[in-house]
Amino acid sequence: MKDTTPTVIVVDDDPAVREALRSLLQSVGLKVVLFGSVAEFLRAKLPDGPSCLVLDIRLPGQSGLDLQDELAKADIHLPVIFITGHADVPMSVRAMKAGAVEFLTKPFRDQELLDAIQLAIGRDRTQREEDTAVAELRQRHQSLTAREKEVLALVVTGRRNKQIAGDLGVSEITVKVHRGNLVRKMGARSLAELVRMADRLGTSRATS
Amino acid sequence: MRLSTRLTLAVVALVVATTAAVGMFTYFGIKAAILPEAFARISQHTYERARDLSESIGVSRLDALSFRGTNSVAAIVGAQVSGAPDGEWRAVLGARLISELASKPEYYRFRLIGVANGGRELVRVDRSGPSGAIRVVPAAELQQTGDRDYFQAAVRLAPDEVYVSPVRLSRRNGNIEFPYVPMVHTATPLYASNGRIAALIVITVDLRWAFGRLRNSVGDGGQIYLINADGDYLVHPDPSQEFGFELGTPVRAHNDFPVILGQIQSEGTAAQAPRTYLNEDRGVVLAAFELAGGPQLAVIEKVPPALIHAPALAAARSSLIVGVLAALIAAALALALAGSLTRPLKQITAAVDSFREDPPIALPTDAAGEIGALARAFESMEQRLRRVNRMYRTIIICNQRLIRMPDEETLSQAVCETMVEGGYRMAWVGYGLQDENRSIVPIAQAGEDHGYIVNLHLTWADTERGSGPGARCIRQGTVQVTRHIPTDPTYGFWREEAIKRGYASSIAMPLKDAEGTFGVLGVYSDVANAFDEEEVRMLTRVADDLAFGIVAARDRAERRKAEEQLRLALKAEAIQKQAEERYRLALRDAQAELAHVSRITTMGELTASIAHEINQPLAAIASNSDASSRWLAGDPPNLREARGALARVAEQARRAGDVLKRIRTLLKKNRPEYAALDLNDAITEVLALTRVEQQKNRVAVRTKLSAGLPPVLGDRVQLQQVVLNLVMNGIEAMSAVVDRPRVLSIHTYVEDGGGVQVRIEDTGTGFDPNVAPRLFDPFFTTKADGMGMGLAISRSIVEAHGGRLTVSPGVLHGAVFRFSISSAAAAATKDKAKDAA
Repeated sequence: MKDTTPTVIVVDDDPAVREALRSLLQSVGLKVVLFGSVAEFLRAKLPDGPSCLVLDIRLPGQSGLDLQDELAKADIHLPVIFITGHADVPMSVRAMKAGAVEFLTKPFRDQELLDAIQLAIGRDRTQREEDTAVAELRQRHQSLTAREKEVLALVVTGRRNKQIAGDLGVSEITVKVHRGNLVRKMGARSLAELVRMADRLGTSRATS
Repeated sequence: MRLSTRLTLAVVALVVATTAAVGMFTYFGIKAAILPEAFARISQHTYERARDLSESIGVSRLDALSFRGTNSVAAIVGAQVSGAPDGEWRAVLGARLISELASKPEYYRFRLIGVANGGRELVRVDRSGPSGAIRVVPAAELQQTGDRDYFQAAVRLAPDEVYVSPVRLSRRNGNIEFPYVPMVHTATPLYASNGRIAALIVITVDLRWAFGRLRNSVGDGGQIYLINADGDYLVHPDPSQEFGFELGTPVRAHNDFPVILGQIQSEGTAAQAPRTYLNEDRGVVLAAFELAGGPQLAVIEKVPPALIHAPALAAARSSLIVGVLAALIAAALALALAGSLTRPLKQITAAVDSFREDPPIALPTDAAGEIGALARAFESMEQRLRRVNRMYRTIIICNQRLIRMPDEETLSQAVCETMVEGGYRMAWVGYGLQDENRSIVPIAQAGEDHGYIVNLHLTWADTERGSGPGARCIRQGTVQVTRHIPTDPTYGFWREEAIKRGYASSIAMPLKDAEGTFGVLGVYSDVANAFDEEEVRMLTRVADDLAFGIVAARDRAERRKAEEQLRLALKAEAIQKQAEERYRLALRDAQAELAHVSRITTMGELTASIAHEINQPLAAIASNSDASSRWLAGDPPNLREARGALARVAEQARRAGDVLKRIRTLLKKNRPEYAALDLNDAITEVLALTRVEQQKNRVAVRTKLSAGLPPVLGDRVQLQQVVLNLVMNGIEAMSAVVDRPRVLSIHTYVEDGGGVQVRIEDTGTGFDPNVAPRLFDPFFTTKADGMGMGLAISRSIVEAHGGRLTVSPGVLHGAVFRFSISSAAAAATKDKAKDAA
């Protein structure tokens, strides 16, 4: 977050392509980090600031698509722009499904790449903000007691207090207390907001 | 030179030699007898000339002395001494002298010269009158003579001494008179009573008379000379040479007669009597003398040698004439004799010369004596020689034909014909067959036959019909001579027919090869007893040669047959080879075609990889060029970066070009072109082309390409095709593998033999060992969509490169393909070895 200059990470096994991309991206003031293979990339430390990954699909050893999968599994939301010398439809479908920002076929126009990078970095920036928000929310969520979490989960599904009490086998009053506490702890100003919060938490949980 | 000519020449030469010897002898004899006499004669003549000359002057000497005592002279002298006039004495003396001169024509002048008056003439009588008349010179014309040499010499003389002057030309008033008058002065002093010299008497003698005599004294061809002590000519055949010393151009005899003058000098001065010298060689005689006790003179007479030798030459000439006549007569006689002697000899010579002619020239066998005997001997020898010669010629011709004739029949025919040409009546060749009848089959025949041989139905079986000479000859292998057919008992069956055809005698000779007698050569003559020992010997040789020729011809025929068979076999082989070669070429073309098709097919499968290979550099180019534009557009523009980017553009453009070139090469349809190439390079290119396939199938490629690999000889495209097929095979073989890494290993290394081996190993599903032998068969495939050509083509390519493509199971999984290609150097050596073989 300290360094706000966006960084573009390029993984391509072809040094000529790497070097060309370095030059191109530097010419528009982007910071560039180059890697020849997935393994090389995985060994390196990821930049703090907003960044994106320009990834060649065909790489020796693990392919770009593999890396994309792996990053997702590791919950690393680094926007990926695929570049490839030869693409077939299944490959691009898979990439896009896995959330790739763009799928460019070599040779591409610089503006296409730069636009994609712009988009990706924007997304990353948003993602990073989102991540920060979710993290805070989770922190709040963590501060809830087990019963409060149970109540929250039921509240956001639209159950009424009486129903909840019935569900949990406690009194309606107890449910109301828990509900009041959790709303406060979560900092929600309305039920709707609470539902949205739970949603975000739930999403993040589901994907973890 | 012909004998008669030689004979004639010999006789003539003999006669000529004899005549010449006699002639020479006569000539030299005469010469020896005549020469001394001739020279003595000449010497005598010369001597006499000299004496005559001396004597002619001697008279004047005496006259001079005698005049002293005459009265008139004494009176005149006395008057001189006393100084008194001499009165009439001068006239008296003058008259006396006139008569004296008249009687002596050689006296030219007579003078009395005073001494006291300094040499003035007192009286002078000479021939100075008109037309040479004698006169007493008047006192007015008298001269002073005191300075003259004769005066000077004479005044010194004692009484009774006489001075004779050297011979000179007469002068008048100091000038030489013309016509020249050679003369000499004879002077003597007159002493007065007081004992003193008072006067001189001087007689001048005209020598023309004496010289004339001298000149006329020589005969034809002779020459006479007179010289004084200095050698000056006084008399010379050429008058212009005379008195040269007086006339200013001295001509001396020393040049003409050096030898004889040398003799005089060596012998000293001449005495008063002439002394003769002789030079026989030149025919010169010289008589030296004192002219009347005065000057030294010499008469030289030169006689031409011809003149001296004349008698000898006359003798020689007559000898020559006699000799020539004798030679002519001898030649005529010799010719006649030689003719009669050599006629028979000539006849023999002509017969010898015409030895080869037919009919021969007759010999003088009826000549008598030795020549007749010689002719008869020669005739018999000639006949024998002619026959032997004919036989030899026959043998030679036979042998020549033996060598040239292509087969035994022609050969036998040629020999028979040669025999007939050589003078025999008939000749034939028959083979004794080993058949049931033991028949004799005639295979060649020449001459007067008229069906004789054919009708004989000859057999060599030991039967009655087989009792003839031919049959016996074959049976026994010996020569059978029939000296006289009409009477020979063994000719029973054939006699009549033989006599009809004029056969008088015959010979049958066996023809033998290594196994024995196989045939007969029969020869018939129209002369009885034609075959004597020598003829039999020679004919047997012909028969032997013929047999040899037949055997050789058979061998030749067999060899030709064998050669023909060999040639046919070789031709067949060549045709087969040609067909094989054509087949091989067609196969190669088909293979190349198939390989090409297969390559294109494979390349079609590789479009992803190819696109990737091309798009990589294109992407780099695009990005670099965009980057450079942006670097340039910056403020300030970053030129360093822009330049770097542009350099990379260029580099990548080249890279893209190379990729395209490689792909194009692989797609092109080319005849295989063998060249040295680096297999590692070729493999790396193939791997680059299959990168997408590798990645798509998640195949890890491991290469271990041995550094320093020797170049191999091969077609790059085809070898790359092999690698491509094997790589694609390996990748495909691993596509179903999920439980282990998909690894394709490619190794290259140098084999022991110097070749390069490529090993491509996969970790795929491998193959069923049962189908292993069929893996390389065309259209054999284990893949659902496979065509089954890849491995078949790969193997054929490798084998076309002289290598081997093999497969074996991998250590744990998969398959290992190996192929080897010999190195370019090894291939070159092998080719050389093949060429050498």
